[in-house]
Amino acid sequence: MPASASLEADGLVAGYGEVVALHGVSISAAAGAITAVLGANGAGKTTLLRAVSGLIRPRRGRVLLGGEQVAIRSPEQMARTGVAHVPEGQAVIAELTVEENLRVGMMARPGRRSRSDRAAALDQAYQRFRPLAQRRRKLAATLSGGERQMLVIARALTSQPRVLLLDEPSLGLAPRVMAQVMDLVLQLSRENGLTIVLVEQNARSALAVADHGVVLNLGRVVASADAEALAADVALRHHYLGF
Amino acid sequence: MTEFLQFTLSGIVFGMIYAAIALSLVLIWRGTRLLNFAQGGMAMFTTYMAIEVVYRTGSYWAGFVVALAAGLVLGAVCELAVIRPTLNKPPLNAVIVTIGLLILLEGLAGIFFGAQPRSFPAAFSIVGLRVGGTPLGVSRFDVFVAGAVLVTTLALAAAFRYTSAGLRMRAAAFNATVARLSGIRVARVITVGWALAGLLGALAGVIVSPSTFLDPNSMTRSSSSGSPRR
Ligand SMILES: Nc1ncnc2c1ncn2[C@@H]1O[C@H](COP(=O)(O)OP(=O)(O)OP(=O)(O)O)[C@@H](O)[C@H]1O
Ligand SMILES: [Mg+2]
Repeated sequence: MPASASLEADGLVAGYGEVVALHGVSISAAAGAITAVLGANGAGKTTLLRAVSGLIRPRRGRVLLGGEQVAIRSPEQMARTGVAHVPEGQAVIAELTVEENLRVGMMARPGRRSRSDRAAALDQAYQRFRPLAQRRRKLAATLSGGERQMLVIARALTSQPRVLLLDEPSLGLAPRVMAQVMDLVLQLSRENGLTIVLVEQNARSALAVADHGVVLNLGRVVASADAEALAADVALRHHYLGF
Repeated sequence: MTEFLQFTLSGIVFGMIYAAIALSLVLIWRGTRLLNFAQGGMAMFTTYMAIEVVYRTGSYWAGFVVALAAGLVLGAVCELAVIRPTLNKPPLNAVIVTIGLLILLEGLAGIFFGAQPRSFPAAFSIVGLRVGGTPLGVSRFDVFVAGAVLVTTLALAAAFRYTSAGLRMRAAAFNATVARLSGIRVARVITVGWALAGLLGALAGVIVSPSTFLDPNSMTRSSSSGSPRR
């Protein structure tokens, strides 16, 4: 994999029409670490990821990848720069097969990939995600929720990203499957050195794997600290994290 | 028995023409959820261009090739110039714009080519084929029509299924957001979809016209009712 990069957002202001959902949000995700972004419904977590991946145009603020500012023009350009955004809701392309979904992930860096390199990337995905290997010719529509979540993460990984943005990967999964997803996130960071921004409602399990945590409330950062420190802050937990 | 065979064979040929028209509409529908009312107008225009080329050069095939090439270009140009500005606007805008495009193409055809119905030559004999004195109900030209549509359709299906350009088109059509997040330039893919639709429409135009007559409105009749009148 290409070298992971740090990701910084600096004073992002973004929203939808009249609605301002981010009022100058700054976060810093260290290279190779897991940064959890937490907060209640409507806090602006998804909007933050959308602004970084180019799905919406920030009105103000900068994004830095590996310390260098990137001009955000479109999601396709950000994907090609190495930012892989896995949106919420296990967004597989249901009408395509499992393998086609993975090949779509590889489109982000077409010029740089040889045929054998692409085959190796597929192999690697199947090694890591065994259940997908058995279902490679099946339509993604036929997968279970957990398998879909595996597929969307695997798809993002085949693009060999420098930064992985995960939006609520545990949403709607059974507790045991959710634990597997969190293990996977941890593994991707520890073993592959991937930079991960992990958006979660489930603050407790996110902080259990994260290095750093950022808490958003109504479009503003209200806390940013070591994951352990956040988890130990009873007042903060009670106020914003609900555990 | 003979009649059954005749109707079956000519039915297949009719079906092939509908298939080409339908495929051109579906290509755009699938890619953009837009029913392109100008599809017939585009086919009419490229067929007129083909007629001009056939009369000037005396070569059917020159006209045939010009029609297909013009269809590709016209499809791409229409998308870039007329449809692209309606992106991110309410869906009805694009529909209205395709109706406007149809009226524009019909008007331009009237100016350039005249409103007189024109006849279009057939590539091959339109005299019915016979086997041992029994008429089959189809001509050599009909066989060409069926073959041309079949080959084009199969080639497109194979390209969609087995090439990475085809995968990009399918991904963009099924889930544009995921496609963009995967680095696929969806806007470019849509332009290609329109170009291919223009090509198919042009093919339908040149193969249906010998059996109708061409006037500025005839292709729209064919593609809306789906009925090439004979
Ligand atoms: N498409 C949209 N159009 C208008 N407003 C939106 C849109 N999406 C989100 N918002 C608003 O922006 C604010 C932030 O929403 P966002 O989706 O970023 O929250 P979130 O933290 O991801 O919440 P959740 O945990 O429920 O996913 C909310 O007030 C929401 O109502
Ligand atoms: Mg969200």
